[in-house]
Amino acid sequence: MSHLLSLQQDFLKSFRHGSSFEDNIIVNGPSPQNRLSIYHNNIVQALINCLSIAYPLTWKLIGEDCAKGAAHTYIHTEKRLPLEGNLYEWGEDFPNFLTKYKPTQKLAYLSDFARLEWLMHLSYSAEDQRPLTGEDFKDIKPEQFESLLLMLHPSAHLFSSTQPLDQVMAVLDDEVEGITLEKRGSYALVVRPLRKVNVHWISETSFTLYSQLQKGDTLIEALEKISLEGFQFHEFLSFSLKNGVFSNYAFKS
Amino acid sequence: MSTHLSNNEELVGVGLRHPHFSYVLENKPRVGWFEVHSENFFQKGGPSPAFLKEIREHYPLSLHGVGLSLGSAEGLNLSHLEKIKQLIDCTSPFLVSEHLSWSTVSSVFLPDLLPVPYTEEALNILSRNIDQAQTALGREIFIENPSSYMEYKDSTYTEIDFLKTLCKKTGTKLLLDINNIFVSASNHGWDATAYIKEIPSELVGEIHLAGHAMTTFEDGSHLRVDTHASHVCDEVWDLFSQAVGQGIRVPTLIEWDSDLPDFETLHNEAKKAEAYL
Repeated sequence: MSHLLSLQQDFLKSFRHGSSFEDNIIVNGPSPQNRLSIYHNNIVQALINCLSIAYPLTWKLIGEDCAKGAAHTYIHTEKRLPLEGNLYEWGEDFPNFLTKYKPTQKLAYLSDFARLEWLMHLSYSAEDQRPLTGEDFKDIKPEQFESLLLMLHPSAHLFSSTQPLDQVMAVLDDEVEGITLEKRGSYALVVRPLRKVNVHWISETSFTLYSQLQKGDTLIEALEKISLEGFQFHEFLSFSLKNGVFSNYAFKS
Repeated sequence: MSTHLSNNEELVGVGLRHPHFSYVLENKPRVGWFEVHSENFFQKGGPSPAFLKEIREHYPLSLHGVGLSLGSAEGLNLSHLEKIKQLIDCTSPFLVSEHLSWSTVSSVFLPDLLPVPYTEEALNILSRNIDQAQTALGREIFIENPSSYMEYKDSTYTEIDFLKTLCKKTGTKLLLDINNIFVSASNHGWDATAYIKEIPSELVGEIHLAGHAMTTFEDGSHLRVDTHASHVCDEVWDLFSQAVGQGIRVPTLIEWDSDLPDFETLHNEAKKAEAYL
């Protein structure tokens, strides 16, 4: 093994397990331990910063001190370090950690809220595509509707929770002051048709319909899997087009 | 590559960070060029790449990488290299730079610019990695001298000799970070003036100027830390003046990454740099 590789592996061990690395460092003024601590601290702070960028609402929800404490423990106990230099994609399992982190464990909604926020983070940087408008459908012939496939925008994500995340979001948006969370679930559609990421709170029926379309069902197949009672398709379609949910269509052969 | 920047105003650029994007696009400040961190624009889509495209329509652009890990003994991450290539293809930057450092080992990325020992082995590994990167990117990349907080017992070169030898072996140039020289010199007891004196002007392709902070430990000892969160200090301006006096007159950047002030503050720092040129 090369000496440089061995040195770099030893540095990683010193960061992960606190093993000694100081013997490699020239003694000159500040102790080798203090010198090494600057690097270790820089790495931790950079990772905490990454999480704060990916989860700004979770940060606001639990407060900066608590969030930084959670991030610090996550980095040191989970040992989930980034695999590459594109840090935008690091931190996906932070919500899972929050379910185990004692200071936040009692907040039943927190991990799901953070999962939703991760989807918002992904949506922000998803591939750009022009959303479909009503005009795009004008050439579809009536006989083609049976095989019509509607593709969700690349930035679209669906998320369901047993917690009322819409109420949590309303508190964060300052729409309401402290509230008592209702005992119900919530269904979210995250989408960024242009520059802004939007979170839409949708019905269970719409959630199922979008999910089926995302899985590759034709529109007709997807409609067969939902309860049509009280469901207004034209409202669903109008909402979808207004909010840039679809970016393409095709026909199932 | 940078010869089209000639007057003082054109030579001085500013590090551009997300909070200033809208201001820059709305006000089009008279700044010679902008530099961004390559890794901040690896996304497939969304507002960031769109902003960068707009900025590029109005200003020359430099891409400065913080994640390629040229000093990794295990070699380069080819996926990372490919993303840089794609960004270069999209933005046609006039400068591309990376650091004399490592961040990746055992398939783990440590987000800091970690120092390499100045040994023959490290020189060969860095040369191999730089050659690979320059070949893959189809262009020259400048290499930035590090801010360092420790020196390795194994080092057999001084930093400046190591850098000069590396440039000779790879044909690349230095991105001379004057603040890094001052920080490292203070932390290790080097003579920053002598360091700059040893640099041939033709070896420098770009200059960085930034602020730093002092960290004091419990035992009362202290180290200077490269934070990019404050004004350029007087000592660094003096060293910059020395470099310019030696004939190092190249694209010069004001870097400010944390605790960002309003853009005007950065612009004023840029104007101050222009006055030295």
